[in-house]
Amino acid sequence: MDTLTKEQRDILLDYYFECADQQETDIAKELLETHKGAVEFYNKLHHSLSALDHLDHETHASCPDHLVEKTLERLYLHHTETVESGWLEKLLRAESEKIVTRRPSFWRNFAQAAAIAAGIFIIASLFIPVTRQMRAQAWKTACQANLSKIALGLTQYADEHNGFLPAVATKAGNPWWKVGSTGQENQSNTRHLWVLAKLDYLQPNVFICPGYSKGKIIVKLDRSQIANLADFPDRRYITYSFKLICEPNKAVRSDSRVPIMADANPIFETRLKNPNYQASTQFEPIKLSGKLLTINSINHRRAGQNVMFSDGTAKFLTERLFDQNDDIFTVRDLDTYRGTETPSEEKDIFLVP
Amino acid sequence: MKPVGNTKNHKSNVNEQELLHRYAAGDKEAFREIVKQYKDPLYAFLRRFLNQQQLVEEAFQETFLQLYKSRKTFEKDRPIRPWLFTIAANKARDVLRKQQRQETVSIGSMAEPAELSIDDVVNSLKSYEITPYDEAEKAERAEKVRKIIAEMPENLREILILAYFEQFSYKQMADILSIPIGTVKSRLHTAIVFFTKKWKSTSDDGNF
Repeated sequence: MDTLTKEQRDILLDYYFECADQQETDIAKELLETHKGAVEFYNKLHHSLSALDHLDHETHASCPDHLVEKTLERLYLHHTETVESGWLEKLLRAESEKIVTRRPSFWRNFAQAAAIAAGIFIIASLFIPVTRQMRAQAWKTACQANLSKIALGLTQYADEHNGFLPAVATKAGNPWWKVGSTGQENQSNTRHLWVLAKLDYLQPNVFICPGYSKGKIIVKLDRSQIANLADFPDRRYITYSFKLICEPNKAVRSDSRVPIMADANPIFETRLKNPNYQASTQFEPIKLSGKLLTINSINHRRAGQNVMFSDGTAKFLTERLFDQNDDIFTVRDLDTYRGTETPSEEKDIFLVP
Repeated sequence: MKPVGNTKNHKSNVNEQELLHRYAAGDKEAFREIVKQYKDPLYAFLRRFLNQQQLVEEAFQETFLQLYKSRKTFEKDRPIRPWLFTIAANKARDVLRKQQRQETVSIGSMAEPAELSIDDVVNSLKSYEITPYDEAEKAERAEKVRKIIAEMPENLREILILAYFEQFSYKQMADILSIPIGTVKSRLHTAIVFFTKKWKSTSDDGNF
């Protein structure tokens, strides 16, 4: 088959999908008349994709009438409810504006309230530890699901970008801690991940660990806000730590199984949670204490952290060590951090901020 | 030449502009007319995308309900079809996510990396002769295609369906999915590679 250039192939694809402009259409037609390879490519493409037509076998049926009727019923119900709720709101407003003249006995009310409070207290003391535990477990599972989705987004991005992970322009020694900075310079390691939200590979809410937010829902970002931002708005919107990317051209998907993302790094968490840090230009150095060397992420009550590996799996680890000796939250042999550290070798995993 | 399924310039029997104005004003009959006009293409899109009757019906109803609720914000000079499919794509994703939340969390369900280019994949096909099949073969092939489509990552599946069956332009797909045109193209290429690879391996297994 005569070789086609990438450009010629793209033109043929555009033409096939009827997305070519007039000029491209002319080129495609000429190629199909004169270029043997183009004809071969086009026919094989058509042969392969025409298999999709089988999808309509047995499913070419038109929309069933019952579905149309059900849809219209729901629609009319919604219409009626909207009208009725307008009336209901008016009635309720009128009712709430009425003056209440009868006042019940204070002691009767007090006794009733005390009895109810005591009941609630007894039930709560029995069930709160259990429900708290169940809730923590549910958040842990939901967090793993988030990491799984992020892994899928990363894979898809890499597939579409020659195996490269999302990465903005940065270099070794640049600050990586300024989450939410709005400047031109890329000084936050989270900007790489923001690319996934910006290009619609992932919904921004998957970057929030429910264990960190304690299940609270923060303000949802709409598409125009996402399009205008260069990074997650602040720490509350990205509560995971990501593999430090120092050079975009080295941000390739790893062949071996290594951690690439985890629940928030516990060493820098106190600093990043402080609302004043975002405006600050300086990162006050952090010296590792015995405690900082051993505590787990805050996301799951310090019980451990969910870690996502480069093969897409996510696992809850009760320790910070990978391969028995590499702490995923620190740079090897370094005890003071200034927010610009870079591991000297690729094998030294450092998930930040 | 690629067979043409749904035409790009959808012609309605009723004057669409007039219909849209009546619909924006809350006229239920105008809305019924819109449902009548678009029910089949929408139903076909959802069938291909979701492949589960219950999900299809849910997304179908939610799409039209949303269309009705948002009638006041709709720009009446714009064609309705891309807008309807924007809503439908979102609703289809919503029902899929809802279903995934209800099912066990599957850790590590990664999209298979596209290791080959379109050229490699297309060139690896042995033949492009299209032969007639009997009904049993057709049904078998339909099942296999449906399985491959179901295994595709959500955003590859939707772009392939929008491009191949609905024949939207790159610009329209970019608007519907809120992504840049460059991403539409690269994602569509990935989807073609994904489908072709899987179809080829299925065909080899089944001696198609």
